[in-house]
Amino acid sequence: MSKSDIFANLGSIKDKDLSVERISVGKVISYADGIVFTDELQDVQAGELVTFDSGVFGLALNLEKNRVGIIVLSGLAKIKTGDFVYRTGKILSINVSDEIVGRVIDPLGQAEDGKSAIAVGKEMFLEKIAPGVIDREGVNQPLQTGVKAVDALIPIGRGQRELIIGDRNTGKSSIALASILNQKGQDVICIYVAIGQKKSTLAQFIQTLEDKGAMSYTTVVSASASEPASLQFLAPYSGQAVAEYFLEQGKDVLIVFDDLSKHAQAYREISLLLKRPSGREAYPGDVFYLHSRLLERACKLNKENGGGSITALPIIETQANDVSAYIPTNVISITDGQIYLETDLFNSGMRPAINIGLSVSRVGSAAQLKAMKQVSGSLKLDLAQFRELAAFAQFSSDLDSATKKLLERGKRVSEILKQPWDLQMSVADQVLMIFAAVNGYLDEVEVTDLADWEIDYLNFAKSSNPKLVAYLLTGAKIEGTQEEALEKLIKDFKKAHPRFYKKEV
Amino acid sequence: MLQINIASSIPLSDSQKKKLEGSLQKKYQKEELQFNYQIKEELIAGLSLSVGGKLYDASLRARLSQLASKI
Ligand SMILES: Nc1ncnc2c1ncn2[C@@H]1O[C@H](COP(=O)(O)OP(=O)(O)OP(=O)(O)O)[C@@H](O)[C@H]1O
Ligand SMILES: [Mg+2]
Repeated sequence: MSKSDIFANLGSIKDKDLSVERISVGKVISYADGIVFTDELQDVQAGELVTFDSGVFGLALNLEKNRVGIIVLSGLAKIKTGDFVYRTGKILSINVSDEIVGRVIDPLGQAEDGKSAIAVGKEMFLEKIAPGVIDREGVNQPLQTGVKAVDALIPIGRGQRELIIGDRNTGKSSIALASILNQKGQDVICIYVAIGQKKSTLAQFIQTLEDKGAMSYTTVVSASASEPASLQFLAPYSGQAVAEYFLEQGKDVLIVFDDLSKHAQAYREISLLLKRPSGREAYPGDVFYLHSRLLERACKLNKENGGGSITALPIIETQANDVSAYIPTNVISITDGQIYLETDLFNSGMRPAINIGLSVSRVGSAAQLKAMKQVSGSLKLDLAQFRELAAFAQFSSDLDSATKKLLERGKRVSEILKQPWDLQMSVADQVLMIFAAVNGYLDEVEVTDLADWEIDYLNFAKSSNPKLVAYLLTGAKIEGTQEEALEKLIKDFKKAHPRFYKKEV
Repeated sequence: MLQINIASSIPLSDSQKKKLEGSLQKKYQKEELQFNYQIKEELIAGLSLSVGGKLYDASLRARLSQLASKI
């Protein structure tokens, strides 16, 4: 506001605007563990922001006949019994501006990275009704994660909600991180919401984002394990508010919630302290709504509404692969598919440890790039056959040559799905590799040599046929000419690199 | 007994208290009143009075925040 506006406004303020008003207040009765109970605070609404005498903010969550339960959001130490609690008539919002990209903020929108405060932009509500059906359109654009196994077999589209689920230490965060790193130069804003994590883990995560140049399009919302449950509870909604700021500009956004198991636990803690009745696994009755209202806000908007999208990758940690526990089943039913990670696979060296059989993407295939779709069709078939045969082959020693051949193919096909977490593969790289594997060009290479083969072959392709690589990068359909070029490329490579082909088959 | 909480930025003198209590007693004629005094520097100046769940805030702080919200 300009100075002259302020003076114009001052002139229009009447005496009665400044008279003593009768306002509703509550008084703090008890305060413990970040939860305040006050005597009745008339007309307060559920989810309303309230303030205390000391300027501390709280959120009214429980409205009962004679008392109100409030979670305190900041300055926990300053509250005393007998303090007044005031209504603000507002619901919780955070300040978001373009400048928030590249920053680390807490769930209340305050800078956490020791740099200056976020420039004033727009107030974005933490709770918002998700866009309706009329404003949306089907998922129709891919979101490349750069992870072969995901892009080929569990493709994700912009606006989709794909769950990453698995036990501790199975590479869940790594898949999300890889997806963020792969958005470099893709005009996608990324938001990483860390809930209940160790500060040291998060610091390392942010360091990686910085080292790989990903902070220039990423915002981190952090509510680490040492923060009160109230902030951990709010963190995903804050992240979503930031996402919606960019959605309104018609941008594509990728948001990661790492993880919603800890989020549910924070909410359970709050609910128990507020003395709400608890149900299964001591979670409150509305824990489904906690996540459904959050994930419903992921969307792909139609042209009339700007055409932006929010793709959500929620993460859930399971105990002993139990996907039928309460929170996992809830979130599975809310999302459009899941990437299922397993400890056994991880330990056997199959990394990323994705169980292909149990992972699905229900909407992403509509958006998958043509070339990827072409090569991944036979990939799925090869893998399914391999899984079936591998189980069967354990029992019989002498297999006919056709079966042996299928087994050998299967071994190689699943081998090439291995990928270091920090290696982003372009569409062209992925198509080159999968094409070679499913068309049997790897059958004569030792399985143990495949990782080296991949590196050399991809470099060879870039230097000897850059035109083909450029074409593949677009993801366009592979026609006869490209197919011939691909075959020639592999034959030339074989001649140039005989060390991979010692053995005659 | 009706509790009346009176907060002021500086201590009130006895005569000020008497005046205040007299006028409040007039307003709540039939009830027995108990007055609780409290110093709250954050009010800057003036005083605030709360009865039941209602607050009558005649402090400078309240004025300023009203002014701020009108601009
Ligand atoms: N594809 C991969 N190749 C090699 N190592 C990997 C791969 N993916 C993950 N890792 C390693 O496995 C470890 C665990 O990964 P990550 O932290 O992503 O798992 P997580 O499931 O998120 O674990 P947590 O339960 O602690 O959150 C890390 O040290 C990571 O570097
Ligand atoms: Mg993790």
